[in-house]
Amino acid sequence: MEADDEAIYRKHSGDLIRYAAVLVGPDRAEDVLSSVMVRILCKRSLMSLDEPRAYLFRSVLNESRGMLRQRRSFPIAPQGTTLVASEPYWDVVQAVAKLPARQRAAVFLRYWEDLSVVEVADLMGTRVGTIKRYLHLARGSLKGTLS
Amino acid sequence: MTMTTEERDQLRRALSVYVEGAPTAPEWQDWNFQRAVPDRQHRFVTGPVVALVAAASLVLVVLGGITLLLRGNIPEVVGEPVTTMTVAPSVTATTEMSLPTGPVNPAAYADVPSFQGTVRYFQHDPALGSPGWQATVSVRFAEPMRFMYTVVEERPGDDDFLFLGGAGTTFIGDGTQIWLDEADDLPPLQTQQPGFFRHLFYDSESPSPAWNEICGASPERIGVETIAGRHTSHIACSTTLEDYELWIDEESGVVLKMRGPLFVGDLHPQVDRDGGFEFTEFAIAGVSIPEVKIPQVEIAGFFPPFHMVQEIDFGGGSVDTVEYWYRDESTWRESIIASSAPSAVGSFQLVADGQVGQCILEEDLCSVVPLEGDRLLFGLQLPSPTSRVPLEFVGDHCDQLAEETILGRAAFHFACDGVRFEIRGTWVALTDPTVGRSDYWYDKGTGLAVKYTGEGWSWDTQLLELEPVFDDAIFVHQEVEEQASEPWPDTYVAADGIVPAWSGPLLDGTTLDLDDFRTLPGSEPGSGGSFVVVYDWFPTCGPICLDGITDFQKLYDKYGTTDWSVTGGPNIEFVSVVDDDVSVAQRTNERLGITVPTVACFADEIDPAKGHNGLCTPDSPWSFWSIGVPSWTVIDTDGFLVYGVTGRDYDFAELDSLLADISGLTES
Repeated sequence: MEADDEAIYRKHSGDLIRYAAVLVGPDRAEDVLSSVMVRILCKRSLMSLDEPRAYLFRSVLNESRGMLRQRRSFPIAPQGTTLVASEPYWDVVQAVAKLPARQRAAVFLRYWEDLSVVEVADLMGTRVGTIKRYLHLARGSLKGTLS
Repeated sequence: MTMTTEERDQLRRALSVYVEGAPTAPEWQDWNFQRAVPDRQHRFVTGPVVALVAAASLVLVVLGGITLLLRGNIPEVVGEPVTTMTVAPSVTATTEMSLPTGPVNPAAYADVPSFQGTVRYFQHDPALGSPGWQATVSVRFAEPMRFMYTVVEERPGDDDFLFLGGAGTTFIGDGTQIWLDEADDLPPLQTQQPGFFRHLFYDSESPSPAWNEICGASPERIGVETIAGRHTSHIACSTTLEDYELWIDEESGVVLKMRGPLFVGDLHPQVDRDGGFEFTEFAIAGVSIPEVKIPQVEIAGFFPPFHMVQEIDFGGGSVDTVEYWYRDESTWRESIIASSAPSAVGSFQLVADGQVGQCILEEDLCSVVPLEGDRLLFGLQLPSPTSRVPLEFVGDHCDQLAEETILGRAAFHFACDGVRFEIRGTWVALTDPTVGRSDYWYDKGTGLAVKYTGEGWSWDTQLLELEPVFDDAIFVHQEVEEQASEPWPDTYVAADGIVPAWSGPLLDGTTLDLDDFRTLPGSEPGSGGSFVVVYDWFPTCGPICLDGITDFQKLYDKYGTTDWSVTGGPNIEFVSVVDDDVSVAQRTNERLGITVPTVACFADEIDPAKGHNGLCTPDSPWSFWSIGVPSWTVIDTDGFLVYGVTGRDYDFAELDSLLADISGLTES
């Protein structure tokens, strides 16, 4: 059981930490994943989950949203080091940070992970139409910064 | 709105800043360690705070449970009045130092009598040099899964983690599920797993009769003490990581006081937390837990058939005009007929014949799938005309203002403070102090939501027609294959109908019949049929038409003379429709080197008196969508119009790209 759980975790941990980094910022990504794993593993094994990947992704999103709503003002975008701030897409980076968490999640899964809308909906535990709406709104928000 | 490849690349680069900044995921051994030390687990579940904070995230995940926002408005308690019956045995000194005698039931609260009380939580963090998070919570416990937990006051700390939602936030276990707030959205209602909620609070151990679990392997009774007027056993607990002290109610077994780290210390190792909780009031008493009313969605038979057009302003310059055709709850269509995002225009959702068809043009995603369960008129856009605030909620949260007239019809007007919505696609009124005033207008005769203004968005109805005459075509599903490739440009218009049948004589003496190119009924998609590309023009129209026919010939040479079945694509047929005499068409083709199969609209040899053969009337396929010449038309294998442009607006590169996609030359 332990070995199986470990395999599941190893398979998805990279995706999960990146997902968390987009949702709450790289600095807090580990906190989020830590919290999620502690909570899950205190209760049950990953093997007992019907769809561990979707479960883990939803857990990371929910954990992130919990963190965001408690401290609404913490910086999500990577901090402006010289290297980062000189990034020509810095405006986009900032705009991504300003998206609501669910929109940011949808954008990441769709445009970074290249998942289909149906797959995004599955991972986020919501309807396809909702995801499309998130993407529509997010694109509207980002439009001004994309040239 | 469509994203260009360049925009997508930019977005991906921006996302890469986050992704590349992500730390390495913790090693599995970290979690393995957690599980190898059972005592440590309990540190995470020693307080309702823990449970409730966790609940905000986990209840959604573990159970997919509905959450109900009840902030700032504690539902009225119904049922028997609370009877306080304090039972506080006299404190008796003991020399045996035996452990508490109250119920110890780690699996359930079945043996715990109902009680009510007030508990204060506090976080003590010397490192921060300031008082941490504090909360006072009113607790009522009736029986397992029937409880009410209300935040009386709460002071945020410097910590990110501990926050219950502020004063007024209420958590109710109504016997089957727990209702609590969620900040920005509500998940769909799902049946809870039977028996999962064994505990007072969501998966919580405290205030808990399971003190032995919290305490770990070697609890030690160190004295007796009175807490909140109750006789308690004071026990010391020592786990591998932390020390706790617990005060256990002797009669009920409930933990009335705790001193020790309040959760999450090891998740933020830089902070040395100490804290705990303590009941300031506690009484074993009969308590009543309010019933949580779940408004039932009863759309069937409620709304008459209607045709409605609404303009929805999402703020920030984003405006959609949505048209609804609603025959009954299983036969309706909503379409975006105008939008500030032009690429969204034409998107629709259609429920009919037990299928759900939807086409989101911005995503270039169209599908038809079987209808499973209920599908409310609610999909592409929020809100929908069939969303409504159940009247039983209105009295509590909304003021009913004077009736108004909207579109010549009487409308109820409600002004609601702190209301938010959504359960299962219908909207219900739930209080949320973070939400400002919202105004709603409901058509008095039908209950349809005809107007809304509130924070963030608004909508208004421009047209409302009851019992309309439905064109059957409205509810016909359009089979469209999902496109995984880049979205087509905005000029590609998905039509709602099939291009009409049409046939005519080609210059070579054969007959062109569009039906010949269509997939035979009942055959597998893609197993037959051809795309048809039509250029409609006339030689005397000048450079516009001549440029067009030259491009058309280029495309024909590239795509029209090859059997695309070798690349998996359908054949592509080209037809040049010349709005002139047969003789003129022939001469022009010869002079320009046009070899595309050609139909001439005017055939003087057929009917010299009439001047034309009746082929190029407003009913001809290329007039299906346009009124101009020249025009470009692409019809798919099922006869649907997939592209139409008039005049100079066609884009050769786009057409080339489209045909490359169709033919299979490019990967889709």
